[in-house]
Amino acid sequence: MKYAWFPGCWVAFRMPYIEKSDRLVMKAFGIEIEEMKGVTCCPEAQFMEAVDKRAWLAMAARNISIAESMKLNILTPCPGCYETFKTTMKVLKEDEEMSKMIGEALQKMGVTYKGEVDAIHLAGVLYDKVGLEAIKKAIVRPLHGLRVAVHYGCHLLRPSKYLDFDDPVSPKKLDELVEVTGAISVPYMRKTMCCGGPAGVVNRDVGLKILREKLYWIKKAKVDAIVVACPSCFMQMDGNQPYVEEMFGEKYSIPVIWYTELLNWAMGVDPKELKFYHRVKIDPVLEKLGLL
Amino acid sequence: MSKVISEKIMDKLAEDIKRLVEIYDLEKKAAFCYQCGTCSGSCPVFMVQPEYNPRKMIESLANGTWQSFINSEVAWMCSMCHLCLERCPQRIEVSEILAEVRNILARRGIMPDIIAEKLERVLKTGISAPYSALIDKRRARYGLPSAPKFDAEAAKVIFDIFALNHVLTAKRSREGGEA
Repeated sequence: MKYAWFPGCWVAFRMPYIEKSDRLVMKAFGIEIEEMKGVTCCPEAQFMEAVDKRAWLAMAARNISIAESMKLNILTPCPGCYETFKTTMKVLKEDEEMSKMIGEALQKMGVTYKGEVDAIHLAGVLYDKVGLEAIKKAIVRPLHGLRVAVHYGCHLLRPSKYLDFDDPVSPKKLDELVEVTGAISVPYMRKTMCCGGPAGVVNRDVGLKILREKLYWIKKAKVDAIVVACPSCFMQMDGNQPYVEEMFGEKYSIPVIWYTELLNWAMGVDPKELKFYHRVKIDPVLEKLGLL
Repeated sequence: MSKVISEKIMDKLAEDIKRLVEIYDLEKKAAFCYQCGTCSGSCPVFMVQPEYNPRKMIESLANGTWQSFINSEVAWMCSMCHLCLERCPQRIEVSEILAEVRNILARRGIMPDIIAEKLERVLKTGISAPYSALIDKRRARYGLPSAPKFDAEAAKVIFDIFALNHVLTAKRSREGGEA
């Protein structure tokens, strides 16, 4: 299992602990990666698709062509990058008119796009390639009794006409990846709703109000933590949680945990070794698990 | 530096808009809408900020009165969660259509500052996130290799091909004649 590694800007520049945690898991399951050279921004759909869809697709196609020259599929820990690449691959394959326009642009850049590689998110590799059975065998410290709210985020799932990770409105794979550690994925309202992160980029209050809606239902489910697989959701749900509390005069204090962070704990890695930054303290979670 | 937009650029932007309207064919895409409101009912932004109403925007597109929202930044509030697109019983790809609307807004210089900042960063550095070489020191503390080096030159070529500099010029001209 070897892939072209596209960490994306959030993971590579802002949250290197995610990359460390992901790399530990990849190493444990024999997933090899090779760096992609000469890439640009994936680029982020939220601004680039919205500013110029053609430029968005062209820039993504150029990145994909780099993986093609490596003869490797792209692996990314970021659902945003995953969505950008998968969308580009499908549009260039199926939309003749758009494909022609992008093709002309790529030609001007001297880039050849063949449509020969795929893109996959790390959660997809773990679930579909490594498999739950193999992961289960690697669990040495089951997280029994830990109640978590699994938050998929949007871009692992939607638009489903481009993405193939899981069902767009009732997914299960991330829940299963979490439950294989021994933790319990607790059902809650508005599970597949957006965290508000992207909306908050343009209008901070809107982003915080959406997050409050999520936190309200998650709190009702009486969980020990939220588990995420998207760096932007991580930043929003963990980093902005205190601002929601401030804005509404409410208390949530729900720790947010990266899904491979949880997996690493269950595989025997010392939480301190991962050196994650959590704005909402995770000590109560570690205490419950006897890992403090 | 004067921010008054040259006639040549104005013409080019107008031509681009005409072309985008043609490519995206928004009126036709919205035509099948029967105004059930599933999109707005699914929308996290609408839930907390009802002035952002996808149902109404699709209605305006379908009946050709989209000037009603094309002069404001309201369409930029979309969180791109794509629930509207997944749930539409008429299979109208609401979130994608509204992103195409924003392509047209961008050519008119109507976009939030943060979007223009991200565009400028991609143009200068090849990526939208703020980048500093110091990140490698932090990555080293996590035992990670250097961060990817981004190809700003390639980004610049794509900006030229799609005349994205004009989008930035249009945005600046909206902010008035100040430097």
